[in-house]
Amino acid sequence: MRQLTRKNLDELAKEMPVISEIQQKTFIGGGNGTSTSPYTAAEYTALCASGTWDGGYVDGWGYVLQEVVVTGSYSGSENNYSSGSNGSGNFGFDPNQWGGRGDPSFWGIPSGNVSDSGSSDYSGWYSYPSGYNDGGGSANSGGSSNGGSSSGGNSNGNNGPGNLTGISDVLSSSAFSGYRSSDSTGCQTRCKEMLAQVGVEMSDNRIKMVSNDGGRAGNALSGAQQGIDTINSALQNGKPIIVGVDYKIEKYNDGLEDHFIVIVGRTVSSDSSGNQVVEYHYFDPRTSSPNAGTSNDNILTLTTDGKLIGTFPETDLNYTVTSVRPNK
Amino acid sequence: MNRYLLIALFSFFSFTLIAQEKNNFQNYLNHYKEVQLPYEICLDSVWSIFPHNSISSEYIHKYICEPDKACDDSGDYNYTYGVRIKLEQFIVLITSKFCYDCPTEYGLGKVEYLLSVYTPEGQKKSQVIILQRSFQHFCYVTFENGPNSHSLLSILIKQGTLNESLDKEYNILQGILDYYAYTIDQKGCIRKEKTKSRNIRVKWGARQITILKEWE
Repeated sequence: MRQLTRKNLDELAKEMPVISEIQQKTFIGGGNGTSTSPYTAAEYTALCASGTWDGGYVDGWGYVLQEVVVTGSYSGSENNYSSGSNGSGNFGFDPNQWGGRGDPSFWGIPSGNVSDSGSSDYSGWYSYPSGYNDGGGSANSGGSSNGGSSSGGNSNGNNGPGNLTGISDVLSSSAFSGYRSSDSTGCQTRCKEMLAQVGVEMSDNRIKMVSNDGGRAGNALSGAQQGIDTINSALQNGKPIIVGVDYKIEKYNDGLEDHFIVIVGRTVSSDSSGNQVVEYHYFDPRTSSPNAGTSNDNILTLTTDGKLIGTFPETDLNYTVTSVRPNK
Repeated sequence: MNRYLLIALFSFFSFTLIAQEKNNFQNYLNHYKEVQLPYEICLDSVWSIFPHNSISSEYIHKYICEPDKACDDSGDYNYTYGVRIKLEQFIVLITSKFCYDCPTEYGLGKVEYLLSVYTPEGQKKSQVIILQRSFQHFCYVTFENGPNSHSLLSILIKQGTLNESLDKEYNILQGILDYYAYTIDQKGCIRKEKTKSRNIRVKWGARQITILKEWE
């Protein structure tokens, strides 16, 4: 019988791979959940099953949260899909999903945004109970239902202007309800029809955005930000929203509102000076043509003084949003 | 003596008023872009090629609307300066008149283009609507020198009017393309002649109308 000596082991190490102590623990377990001594997948599964998982590092996965609550809605549909606590906290499970583990944007630091690319469109918010997300961000996959009016890889933060990001159209161009010569003044009705396509109804409330300057839009009112927040909130929940616009001197309705359009998406970019540019895509029932009514050039821009202005490109009409009509 | 003084004063004020009026008209003309013949305007992809400089109410009443006749001067309309063509004895102006909410078959809003002939002093000799642009209308126009000494200016127009939707998914529409020839004679009068009318089939894209087929 041959005696095993240290010299034998050293010689053996030259021919055979030697695994580190940390690697050994991944096979036998015994980690404490730190980055230097992670749990094994089997330990994680066992801890979850027993309800004692408090978060920690899992070998090969990175840090896994204690619990994640996900609430979201599928845009472009009247159905909301919500998932409650998934109990497993496995958002870090697939490094290729949601920006991957270790990605600051995934962890919600600093803005709580998550992003991905794909063809679906989700708007909602994600809550991270362990404090990794401070802003109630939301995820929104890239792509756009109408050919890319919004920036890809969209994510929504809260309503603060510094945290805004793009939202792909929440209404498909196929839901466009255009002008009818038999009801030439029915723009609000057409807008309501578009909302109804996704199960949304306009309320009777009205948030006034601008002052009346002789029948034309004047300065932004103090409540204008509430109107902007209402638009953002609706879009983040995957809902289109109706707004009234001014483009001429008028003497009917409230003496200011000339027409109604539907805001369906949001784009956020930067100008050459690095200032944030927030733009909203809208559908316009001024025309029966879906091409013109849903054109990607139908854009309203948020000005620094809190107004939403834009041009209906087909006719070069200059729109100013005068009121926001919240959804029910 | 007093009579001569009165005549002199009357002549002076009349001269001053005429000069002021001419100066006023010149100010109005200066807003229009002077173009040379031949000159073309295509209104198939856009509603207007003119800058968005609105004409003041004062000028609308003075130079566009007819005296003692109803004038579309409310907030529902916007007049903008277009182009001017200088003829031997006259000045021709093309002005756009946008009716924001005028209904058409396929949308709200219509732009009419007015052809107006003035003397150099600002007296209007004649005025007609020569073109229409809307969600239902599109047009092309060419301004040329008149073909003979009786005609100072020749204006050839193709006015499209769509009236039937053949395919809503691909936005294929059918309608009529009317051909007109306008001339301005030596008295400054505008004469209109419809030369032919053809059926058309078009594809209506975003900011673009393409004629797919034209037939008798």
